[in-house]
Amino acid sequence: MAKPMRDIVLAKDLPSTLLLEKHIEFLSSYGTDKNDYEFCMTEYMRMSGMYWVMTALNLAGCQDRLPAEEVISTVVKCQEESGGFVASPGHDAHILYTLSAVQILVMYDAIDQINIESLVSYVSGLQREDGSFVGDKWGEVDTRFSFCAVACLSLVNRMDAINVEKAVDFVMSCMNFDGGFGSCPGAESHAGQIYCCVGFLSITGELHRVDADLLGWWLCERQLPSGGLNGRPEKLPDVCYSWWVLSSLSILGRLHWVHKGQLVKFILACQDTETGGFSDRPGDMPDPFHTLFGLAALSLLGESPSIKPVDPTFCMPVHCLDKLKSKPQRLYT
Amino acid sequence: MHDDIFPAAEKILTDIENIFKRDKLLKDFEIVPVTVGENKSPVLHAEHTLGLQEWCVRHLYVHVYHKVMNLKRQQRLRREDPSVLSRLLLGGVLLNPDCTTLWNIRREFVVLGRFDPLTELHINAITLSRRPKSAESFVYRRWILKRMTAEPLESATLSSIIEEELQVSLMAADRYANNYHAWNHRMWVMSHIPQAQDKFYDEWTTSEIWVSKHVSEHSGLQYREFLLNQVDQHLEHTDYCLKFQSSLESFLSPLKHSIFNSDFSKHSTVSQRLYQSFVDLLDKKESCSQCPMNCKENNFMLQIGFLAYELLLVTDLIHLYPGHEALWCHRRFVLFCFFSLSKKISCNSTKESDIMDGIPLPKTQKLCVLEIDSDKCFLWWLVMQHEDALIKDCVIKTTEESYQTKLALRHEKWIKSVLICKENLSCRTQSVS
Repeated sequence: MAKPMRDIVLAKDLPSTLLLEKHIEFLSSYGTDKNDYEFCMTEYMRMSGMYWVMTALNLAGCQDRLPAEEVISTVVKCQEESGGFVASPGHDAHILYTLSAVQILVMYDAIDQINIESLVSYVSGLQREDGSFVGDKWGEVDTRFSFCAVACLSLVNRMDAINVEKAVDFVMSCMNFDGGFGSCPGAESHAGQIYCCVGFLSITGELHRVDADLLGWWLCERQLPSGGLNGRPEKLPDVCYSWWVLSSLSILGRLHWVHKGQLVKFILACQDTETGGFSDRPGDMPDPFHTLFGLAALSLLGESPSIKPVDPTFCMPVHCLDKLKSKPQRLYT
Repeated sequence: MHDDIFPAAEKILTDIENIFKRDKLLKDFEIVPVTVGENKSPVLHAEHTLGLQEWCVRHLYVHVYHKVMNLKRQQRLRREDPSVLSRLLLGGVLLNPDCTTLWNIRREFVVLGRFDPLTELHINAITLSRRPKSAESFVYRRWILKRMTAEPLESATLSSIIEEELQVSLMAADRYANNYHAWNHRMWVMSHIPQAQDKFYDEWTTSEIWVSKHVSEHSGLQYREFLLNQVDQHLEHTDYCLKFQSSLESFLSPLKHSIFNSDFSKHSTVSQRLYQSFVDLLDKKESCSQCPMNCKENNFMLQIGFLAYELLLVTDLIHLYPGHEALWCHRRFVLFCFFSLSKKISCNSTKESDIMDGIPLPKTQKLCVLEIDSDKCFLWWLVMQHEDALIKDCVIKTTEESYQTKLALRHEKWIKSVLICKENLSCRTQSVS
């Protein structure tokens, strides 16, 4: 029996216009009505949650909906003596939350309020002999952490603190025959990991080492008839992959390789008309993670003038990156 | 502060822990959809499965989380009664295996020698039974395994560790389709644990059965690609030669009814010799060695037979199960391997007179960027015969708008515009800002 493609069918009554006001409402009240259980389940990644909310609000032009001073002091308090950041007081420092913290502080132009020297030494201390990065003191290696490391350092203009050449070699050793990248050498190509590796190469200025046509081809094949993008073959479409795939294509100068109209339709269909916010697929529960990536993807697609331009490498509003000494690299075709 | 918000918590945690202590064969953890609590324990145990009634989950987790985090924030974890703490941490990872902080506390206690690594592996496997794609669970598992295998272990111990890891990753892969973390873990085990490398052939054999039953499994097929790379590097004469020989014969069949027109003087010596071996094989000329493929004399024969076996396997699966993108992706991988091999064979044209002190002259080295096309390389010509036949077959057998036809045409396009094209574009210029 022939099996139909794994995809979804968009119902006719799904939203087709951007409900920006509702999203702003959703984001600025997120967490305030959370019960204790949900808070306890997710506190270990709270810093990233804050980054998703702040960035989405900023892209929507409403950063002032949340009290800046409070946000900044919350983040600043999460820096440990080691220089790394914890997701929330009492949790453990990790490169994932360190990058989220740095991104938030750069967006608020408040990076001077932390100890940058110790941040730099924390990040560079995570690099191993072979150029790879571990996520924390327990030693797991992942190309995501390579991205986090160079993104952090680039945002504080301190790329000199690590061995960039070796870092690049390691990321390149994770490239597969299909042009994609996985989490470690030999691991399956995955759109999220590809974003991290392509972003990494754009920060380190080594994009020429990607086979942009081969990878671009694989990325475009993520688009399904519903218009949505999946992250690997035979997976369902998901709004967050609109971001990982699209930002990679944008860095590679091949954004025009996907069908824009259909993708926009899919993303808009994932909005929650009642509560605001985006979910992974139409009808599911919205959350700040998918809301950020939905808005950021729409920004890259240039479809909504009310959303500010987003930088495809850092997933931050472009206007927040003015102070960066070296701009992330892009390919042009 | 929050200590007494759920008075039943300690009793429930003790019940859970007792089941772990009693049942060393415990293998599953499930939340049972009972939403209203009755006046008895919500902890169930049957057929090596631990069940917890749903109504208590939220209260229990909040209780555990506050208790543990309060102790941690006050730096009192090490002074807490070990039995109380161990129950809390057990409940914590069972209910929220994604919380790195909880695993980190366990790590501290393993380092202190207070938690036993084997028990840790058991608890961890139970968390995976309910949440088979929890990345943090797998990360913790590898951390334990790295510690255990950092010291020299007896061969039997290593074997049982490997068996257990293969079993756990298979369980997780069976419970969640295209489970990135499960297959990554398996790959890690096969490449990092001593002795696991002896099992590459076994894994290669069993993976064929598994992927044939899970044809939408890109992750499972990708694991097979990892195995193919490993086996390929260590190919030597084995019992499998017979298997490869029959694949090789089918693979060569286009040579019987199509004529490969080419000026052989342009071919590399390796290529010419290989062609002759193929003709001999098809003519059933007696092989002078023990191996039907004479693999010792001509190692490329073995490699081609090995790849041919895979190519024909994918062909069968594509015909049996139309419309599976994962199979076509895997075929691309096989083509990529053939393509690389074709290049190797065609490049091998260095004459002995071109070699000085064991190094080819620069002029001859350059020959290696020679492009592959089916006129100049009969191996690639053969592969293309198979691709043409497959694509035609798929297009004829299914309707124009079918997914299978779409995949077949996409495959054709990929070969022409991506695989072959990129070679010719190797000096392409890209403007970089």
